[in-house]
Amino acid sequence: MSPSHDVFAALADPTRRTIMREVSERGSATATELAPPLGVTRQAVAKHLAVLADARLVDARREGRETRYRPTPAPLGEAITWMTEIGGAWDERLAALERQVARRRARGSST
Amino acid sequence: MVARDITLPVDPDEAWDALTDPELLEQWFGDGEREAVVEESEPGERLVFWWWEEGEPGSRVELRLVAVPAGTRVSIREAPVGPFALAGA
Repeated sequence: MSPSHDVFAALADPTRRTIMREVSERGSATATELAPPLGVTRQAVAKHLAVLADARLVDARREGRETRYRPTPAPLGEAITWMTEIGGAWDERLAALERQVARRRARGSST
Repeated sequence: MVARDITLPVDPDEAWDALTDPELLEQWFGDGEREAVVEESEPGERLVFWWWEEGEPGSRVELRLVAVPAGTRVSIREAPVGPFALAGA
């Protein structure tokens, strides 16, 4: 299965990468806990966490009046698998393209 | 996203001809398991297409040719697009 585009989009933002790292380091976190050390508003952190949750990179659970997030890195593994497979396929296709160019040049210079 | 860049020792037009050579296209697309829709084709410059296997979400491929002193730089970018939703239909 290929990963959803959301994994890449979610981690394209540097603030979200920082938030993902914080959640991973802490094991779990809420927007209220992360806002002060990151120097951004609780609302901004909550928005970023929601994007990470949509990408399935964190799991959201209500805890009283707050939402607590835990890291669920499986989609990252899927993304890396996808990039390795697709990248390997392109390495082969581009090698074929290089051979094609060499063949055409050899053909061209012989006529 | 997956990114690959190579430099071919020919000009962009020759690179394009090699790229669209039926022999090569057969190697690239001939496995018969994939469907593709071309979004944009600008000979010697740019080729953008979407491809997918039956039942799988697809991806978008952007291929750019740029003239460089050593010949032509070919850049490939492939990004998954999530549920394909017949976007190419």
